[in-house]
Amino acid sequence: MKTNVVLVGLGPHAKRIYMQCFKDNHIQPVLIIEVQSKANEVTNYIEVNKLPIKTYFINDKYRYSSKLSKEDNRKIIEIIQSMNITHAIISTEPKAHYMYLCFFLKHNINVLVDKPLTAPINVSTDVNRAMQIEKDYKIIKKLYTKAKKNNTILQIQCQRRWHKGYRFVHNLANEIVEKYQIPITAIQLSHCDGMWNMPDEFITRENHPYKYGYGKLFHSGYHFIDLLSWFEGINDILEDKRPNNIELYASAVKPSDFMQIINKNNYNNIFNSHKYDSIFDNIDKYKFEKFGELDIYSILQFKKDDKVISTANISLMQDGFSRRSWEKLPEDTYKSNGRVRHEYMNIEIGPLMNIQIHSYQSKEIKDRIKGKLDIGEVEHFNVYVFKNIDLIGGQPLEKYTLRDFFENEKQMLGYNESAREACFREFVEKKVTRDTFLDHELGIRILAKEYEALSNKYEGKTSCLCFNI
Amino acid sequence: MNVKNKIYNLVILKSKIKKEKTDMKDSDDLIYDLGLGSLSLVELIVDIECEFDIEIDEDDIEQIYKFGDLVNYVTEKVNFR
Repeated sequence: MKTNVVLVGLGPHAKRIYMQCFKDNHIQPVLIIEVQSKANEVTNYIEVNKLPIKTYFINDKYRYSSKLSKEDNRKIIEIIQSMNITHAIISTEPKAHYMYLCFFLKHNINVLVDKPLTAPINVSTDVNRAMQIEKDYKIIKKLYTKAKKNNTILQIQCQRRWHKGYRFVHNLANEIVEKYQIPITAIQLSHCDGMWNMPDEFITRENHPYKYGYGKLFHSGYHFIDLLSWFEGINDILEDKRPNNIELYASAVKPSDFMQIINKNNYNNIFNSHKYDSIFDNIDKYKFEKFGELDIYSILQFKKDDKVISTANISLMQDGFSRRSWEKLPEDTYKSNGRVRHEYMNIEIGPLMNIQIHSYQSKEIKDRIKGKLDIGEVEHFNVYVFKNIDLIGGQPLEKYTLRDFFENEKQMLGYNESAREACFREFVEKKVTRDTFLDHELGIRILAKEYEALSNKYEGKTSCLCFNI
Repeated sequence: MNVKNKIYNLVILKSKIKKEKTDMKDSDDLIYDLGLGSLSLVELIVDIECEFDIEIDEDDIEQIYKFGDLVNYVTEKVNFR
């Protein structure tokens, strides 16, 4: 059957990632679904790019509902039947993911959805809302299990699982754990994306917002929760050491903290501007403490009964090093706003091996120098493997750069985008190598528990909790 | 609160038809009499799983049509937990 794709959402991310993937793979979506308020923008984009794509616009009133309105539901069913739509890519605001996921799975349409899977609001201040993350997953899993009987696929776009460097490291760790029956004993993960938000943006921004009571974990943070669960999952091959519970501690930095860290005087001095004075002067009015997290710091101990098998330490930040030096928010609020990535992963396999991934940018993508892989460059991604060679052989230190993972320079450019494209290609060609949706169960559980811990803390309780896996 | 009352409360949250507890009968069909759609039925099943800390098999769901069948099924699962 011919692949006919509907793209849900045509924001800056969908234009930059998916429309490019479509172009590179010589196909086009046959339908775009957006909200009515974006109709002019979408129509204009399609006309300017001369794309033969149909559109359907839903009523803005229902954009974040749990179900499509009766009218939209009926009309979209008619359209997907008449256009023989087989695949859906959901790249819209995460608060709408649940509605579209349920709809497409019910109609046996293959789905590729951006992370996070769903985005219930107020998860960092309300325990019940945090628990909804797992409930949403369970509901979608049930719908998926039913749809799977008709060979329907569901993928979450977590590009690091398709990243050649991370896949190399995962395979290497898996090989050593399996061969020597020694688990991954520690993981440290750190990511800072330098997303400096001006005070008014906390209140106004809809793209990667904080005002709905979620933040970094639902933004780019889920990628690292996913990485953590993917790597910790390696230990499951050791039957006698397989963890069955996790002890977790979490702490956050919220916009209310950040307004103290960089205060009115700092903004006045840095930008020579009084633009934010009224926000600082009325700070109590905005209740920034109820907003979602900028940073999340968490320690997790993966235990078999009462014995610790592996300890993880994650630091996910949005208020660290940035190249933003302007007040005005650009159109692409996420990618053209001074964001630079500092990413680090450290994996210990007991005394046998240590693997470190270092990826530190000092410049934005627009300042990329092709072929440069040094620290600070856009394509910096180094892997260091330290080996206890008298026991496991090899070299005491092996070093890899992106050049070792890619066949040519072109593939290296924007390697995260290459990984996204690999995921996209598998999806549209329906050549999914494994059932990755179900692999997210642990990641979703950890995500929900991180927010549960933050909600507990907000309510004055301990942010340390234990749960079975 | 017993299993039946808890399930009644969860059904009411999802149902399009507002029924008093005394009006709800074991023979009520979850879809036709209690107004649950296919999605709200799945949501109800997950609510029940979370409430009682049990797992409900997908194949079993397809065999449950009546309110009373659901109560019996969950009671059995809870007792054998």
